[in-house]
Amino acid sequence: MKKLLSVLFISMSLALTMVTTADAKQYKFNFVMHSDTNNAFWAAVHKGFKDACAQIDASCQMLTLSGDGDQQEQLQNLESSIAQGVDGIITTITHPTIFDAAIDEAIAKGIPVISSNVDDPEGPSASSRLAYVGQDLEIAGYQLCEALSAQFPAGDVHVLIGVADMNQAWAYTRGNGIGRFMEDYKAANPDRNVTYEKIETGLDLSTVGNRVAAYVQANPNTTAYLDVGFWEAGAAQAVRNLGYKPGEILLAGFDLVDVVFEEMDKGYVQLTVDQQPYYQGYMPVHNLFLMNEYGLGALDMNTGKALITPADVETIRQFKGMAVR
Amino acid sequence: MSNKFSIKSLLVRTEISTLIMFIIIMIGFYLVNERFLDARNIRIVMGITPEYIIVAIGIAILMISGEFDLSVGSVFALVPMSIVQLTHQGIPPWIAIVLGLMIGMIIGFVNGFITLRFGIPSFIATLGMLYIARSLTTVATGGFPPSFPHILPNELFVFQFELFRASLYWALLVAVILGIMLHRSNIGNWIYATGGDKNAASSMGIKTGNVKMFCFILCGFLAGFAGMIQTFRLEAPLPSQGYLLELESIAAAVIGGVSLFGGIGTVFGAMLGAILIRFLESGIIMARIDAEWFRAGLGSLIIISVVVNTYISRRATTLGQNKSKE
Amino acid sequence: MENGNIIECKKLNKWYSGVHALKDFNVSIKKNSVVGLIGDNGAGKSTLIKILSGAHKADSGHVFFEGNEVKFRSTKEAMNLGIETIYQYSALIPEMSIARNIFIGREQISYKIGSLGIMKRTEMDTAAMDALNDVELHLRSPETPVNQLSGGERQGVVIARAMYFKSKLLILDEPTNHLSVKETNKVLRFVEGLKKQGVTSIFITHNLSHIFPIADHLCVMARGEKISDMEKKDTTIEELTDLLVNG
Repeated sequence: MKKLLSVLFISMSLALTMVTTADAKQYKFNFVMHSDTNNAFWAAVHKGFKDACAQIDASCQMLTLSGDGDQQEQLQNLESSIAQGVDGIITTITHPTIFDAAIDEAIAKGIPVISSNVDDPEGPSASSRLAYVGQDLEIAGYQLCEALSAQFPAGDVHVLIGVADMNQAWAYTRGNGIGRFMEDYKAANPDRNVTYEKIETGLDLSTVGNRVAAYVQANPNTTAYLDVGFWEAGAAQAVRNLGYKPGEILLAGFDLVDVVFEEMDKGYVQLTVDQQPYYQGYMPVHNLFLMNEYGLGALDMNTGKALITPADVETIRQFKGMAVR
Repeated sequence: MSNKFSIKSLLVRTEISTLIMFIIIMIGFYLVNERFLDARNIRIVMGITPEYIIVAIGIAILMISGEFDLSVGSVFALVPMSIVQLTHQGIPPWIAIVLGLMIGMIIGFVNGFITLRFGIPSFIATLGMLYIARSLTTVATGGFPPSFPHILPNELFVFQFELFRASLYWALLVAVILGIMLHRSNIGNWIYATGGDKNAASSMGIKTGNVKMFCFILCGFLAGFAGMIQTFRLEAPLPSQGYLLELESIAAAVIGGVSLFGGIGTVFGAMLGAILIRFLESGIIMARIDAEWFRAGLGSLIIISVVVNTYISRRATTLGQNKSKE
Repeated sequence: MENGNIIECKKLNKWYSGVHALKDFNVSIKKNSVVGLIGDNGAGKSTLIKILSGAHKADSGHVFFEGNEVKFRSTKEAMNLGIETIYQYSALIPEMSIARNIFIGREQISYKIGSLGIMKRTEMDTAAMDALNDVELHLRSPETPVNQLSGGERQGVVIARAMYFKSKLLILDEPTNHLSVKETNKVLRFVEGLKKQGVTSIFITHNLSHIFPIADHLCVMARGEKISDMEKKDTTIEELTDLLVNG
């Protein structure tokens, strides 16, 4: 009985301390996303988000998932945010349909919703979100492959496209862009044997490394591997272990993450695309603030598709330490 | 003097301490953010809870019989994916549903067969099935997420009434039927006996192998049924459904008083454990605590509930033994 | 074979991974008697019991119950014929109530579908209390979990269970091993009373002082064989002890 009472007492006092630390009246913004805390890319987004919130003294919460890519959990987080009655929601939209109803409801309740990092794969007309801050995923994929193709050797070309998770919009949209370029390239080079293949490669370095290694051993004619995320760095480690020299298999991907820079230094990764994640966390916050304060509108923002080569690495490294790039 | 209705005998029931913890959590989070007990929030949380209740009940019954099933999360994804793909192939919706649910039962049967026939711990057998079934789900997507065929009768299972969804009533139906089965029928007695002391049960003529197999199949069926309901609610089959569900539903069962060693637990407790976890998750987000703390909170809750429940049942046992020595 | 024998074993043999646990074992057990089966560890007593209770099958030989040959495939078949076994570890489910334990595997049910149904709990509770009273075991409530009972009380429940189901033959496997003097006495008095109720009992033990007073017949085993088979009046404790130690 005593133990039961002490459990009761401890729980109640915990609850009371939570009450006292709850915030007073200030803007509340939630960022709903599709990844877990282990994904290095999100560090810059999170910093942008937190910095912006600090500047306007808003209470901000970024809701990470316990399972990377668990869309059902992401939907729950979105609905919880709406139920909380926040002043604005920033969300990624990684599925064509399942988030639609919730976003509609948020807008109907007067909570502005801005999408960031990944927009509705069916396009702006398919979602009631008020604006999109991020990269045009399909075009970025196209242009990445286009740039990499300048380094293709003469003769037959076989390209492997690593779509990290076939069910997430950001992944397959980039993959589609890369695929579209390969189609164009094939058409432009009718005298060469140009082929490409898409496989689902995974959301972490070792899984991707293993799968690419297996593929390359089965298909030694592979010219290049493009990842829709930053996990070509994992592929780099894997092919190095298989004995490949830098540049024997061209590697490219997205985002500026430390491992990618290391592999660029070693010469294994040729290209990556910057989508300026700091903007993706920072800009929507100020936009939501201004919408709430002065009734201004939501603004789309293309955060860029800058192609980064090994030559650019030094400059960017300076900012890496600040976790802003 | 009959102590049938004494407070002490009431406290012995582990569900009571779970209920107390539940009330504390509800009150605590309400004090932090009033909207926690808002109609809207209740509607949201109770909209998804039935899916977890059903899986928790399934795994609880299996645990009471003395076995585990770590593949429930994968079955949770595989069954609805199969139903969707079968429908796309032109199979009439209700037949697709029956076939899909049968897949869940078959996986349960395979789990049971491997465990019982080869005498390996169910923990291991179903761990292997976890990966196999998840892989099968990916294969079933055909490399690209299929759309949701709207001729499937999803409204029947997930229609949103004022406050609750139809799925809650389905979950309650499952709870009532299985509650009667477990607590009032002879097969329920055999389940408790098999989990409580397998050798004693089999010397008294109970076919413990058949009892366990029944529980494995039931668990697979319920995991598939619950997954089907989630997919019907989302109107999209997601291969990532049910990720980490096995651990969460074991947690729900344990918080609700089910013993890891078998022979102890109730349907009501498992249901309560599942509801408690969902509200805990909601409360943590509502209180604007970092969502990472959800897992720390869940972990602490599991430990606290098991410590409290063990303490209570030990006290009751020694009290009873002291009394009989008088 | 209407000669008043409830059990006859002829040339029973059983091997366990190379060990010859029962060697050409023969015994006849008269109805309504108390038979003491004694022997040191490894003598083959538990093997014999497992075969008679239906838990294991003999590798060769015959068992006759009430004149008819039987080959049990399960403990349930033996129980259906009226052979109940009180095991060394009492076959009770610790967290379960007395009533459920008494009726385990033989629950009283209504709304039957095949052999499944809803338990008649009130009837079972009443029947349980009656069964307990019949063996002079007065416990508070049939809902008490058996792990709250003392060792002797648990044995009492097991015996009450066997009696309730009208056993004709009760096999008791070292039932007094972990009991206090008082409780041992209770069990022995009770086994004596079984004769009047038309129940034959086989009492396995290596404690001669317990069984000698109440037995009609004593059977000594060693190394899988029967080395002695005598009426009580034809022998003494000393002689039997000697056989046990030196046989």
